[in-house]
Amino acid sequence: MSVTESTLAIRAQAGDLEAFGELVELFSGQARRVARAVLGDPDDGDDAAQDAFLSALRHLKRYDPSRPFGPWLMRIVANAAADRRRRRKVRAAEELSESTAGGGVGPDVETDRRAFLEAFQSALARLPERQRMAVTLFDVEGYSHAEIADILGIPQGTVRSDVFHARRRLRLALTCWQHHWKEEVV
Amino acid sequence: MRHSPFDHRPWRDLGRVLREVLEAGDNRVFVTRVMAEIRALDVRPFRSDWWEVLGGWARPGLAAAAALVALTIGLTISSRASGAVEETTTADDALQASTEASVLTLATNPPDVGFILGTFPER
Repeated sequence: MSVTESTLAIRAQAGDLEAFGELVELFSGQARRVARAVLGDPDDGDDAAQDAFLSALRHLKRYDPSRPFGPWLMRIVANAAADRRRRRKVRAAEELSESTAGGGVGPDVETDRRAFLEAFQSALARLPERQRMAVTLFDVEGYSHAEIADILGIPQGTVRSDVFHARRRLRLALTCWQHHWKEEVV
Repeated sequence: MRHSPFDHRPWRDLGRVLREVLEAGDNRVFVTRVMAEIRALDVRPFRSDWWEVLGGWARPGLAAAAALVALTIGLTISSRASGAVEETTTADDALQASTEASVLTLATNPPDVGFILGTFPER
């Protein structure tokens, strides 16, 4: 655990708003990505991430500074995003037609990097919510299986299974577009 | 680099693509927005709720109560065990328990004959 985040959290618990601001700065990228992985839409993701930071500040006394701040915050982010998702109707990211999905587009179609990313995003959106969170927390944010299990409130074995299934399906999208990808991704 | 979905290490290339897909723009703008909302709503850390305070005391409280009960039971058992051996009754205690007998045995003057005879029924 970073000494910085622990120190900042202790100062924030004592009412130092600037310290909390630094924590927001440290974790905003991560929180926004995880929220967006759940919700699909960037604006919804930002709203959920903001809700999560406000909730984290309100309940900061419950945070144990001897433990890493990231997993504690990510649990709040995951809950905030899932709540928002339940409250709202299915978002635009899920309404993309099958024709633009990764599996339906071949490498012979004229496209560019942007198209690849859109197709990949579509493939991501079709994953079950928990798989999206698991693969994002593991492969993007670098959390361990144990930490993700704690964040999502599920057994470690389920996390491993979710990461495996998410990767397998995303791999299809990657493979489909590999000839258009400048770097070797598979 | 080939990577298997079974691999239990982070898949760096997949992570990079995912990060790019999920990146949501300038973080500074977002941080400013969050902090402005916090100030506008005057959000602060909640003080500990009363049930959390009680919850914090529950464990040591239960331990103290258990220790007190154990101590009381121990003292009661030990005092009963010692009391059974030491408990004796003197002759004076037995005599004082009956007032009629004490009149006869503890009187300093000889008893009146009339009193003694008067206790028998006349024939």
